[in-house]
Amino acid sequence: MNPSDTDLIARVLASDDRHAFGELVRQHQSAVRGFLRRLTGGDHALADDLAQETFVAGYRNLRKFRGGSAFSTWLLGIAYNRFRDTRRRHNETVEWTDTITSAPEIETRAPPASVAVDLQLDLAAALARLSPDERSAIHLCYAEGLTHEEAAGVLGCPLGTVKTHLLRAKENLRAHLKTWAPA
Amino acid sequence: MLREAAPMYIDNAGFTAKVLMALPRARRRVETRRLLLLLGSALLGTVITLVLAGNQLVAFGTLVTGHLARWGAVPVPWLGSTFTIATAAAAIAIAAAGWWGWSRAR
Repeated sequence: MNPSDTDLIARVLASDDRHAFGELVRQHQSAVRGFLRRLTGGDHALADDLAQETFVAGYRNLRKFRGGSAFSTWLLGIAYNRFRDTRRRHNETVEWTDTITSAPEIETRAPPASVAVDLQLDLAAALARLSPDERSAIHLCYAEGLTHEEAAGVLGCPLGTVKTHLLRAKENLRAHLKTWAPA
Repeated sequence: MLREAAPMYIDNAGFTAKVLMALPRARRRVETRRLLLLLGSALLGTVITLVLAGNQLVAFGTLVTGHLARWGAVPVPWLGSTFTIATAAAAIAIAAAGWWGWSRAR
């Protein structure tokens, strides 16, 4: 049985146990990297750099983790802040949404028989055209299965803002995917 | 459909190792313990010496102070300022060494 996040965190805090922290990284790296890949529009290298910074920041600030939310939610919050800082540093010169044409579809789940591959590809492209905030909200609530309240915690914004992001994201997705709408 | 479009599990592929290498240096608990042990030993040694030396130490002290008094009688105009500067330099060096040792031990 895998030790729980709480046990691992306690070991890191008590004796600076690097193996325990490694286990935490192993357990959460996929979610954090996936989230950041979605945010960066499929820029794997940048996403992994940000993910690494996220975990190092998590290690440094582990004492501040109060357990009010899941550890993964806390990490996703750090990841989102890292992404936002990087975007601000780049002063929006990097067009995050232009780099998404190929990467996302490579890493989407194998579509079930009921969903056409083409639709999956178009959906990935449509997701990538969303604003980072909308994309974050959609990813957190649908891919990560967070509640709206948890997503608001990760994004550091009011609940109403998350709902607005989700609403706009769905409208945009509907517009981008209108050719798939049933006749 | 949005749930199905979630990124699949991303293989670790050395990511954890890279993160662990990027972590700040491990706290030097061993060095702190060694430093405390060294200081404790020095203090204990001093106390033992003082206790065991007894009268001999007093005789030695008298000898040293006698010599110092004789040297002090020699009129050297710059000796006072040299002594002050040397003392200040030594104090600064000791403080810097202490700070460096303490910051490394954290």
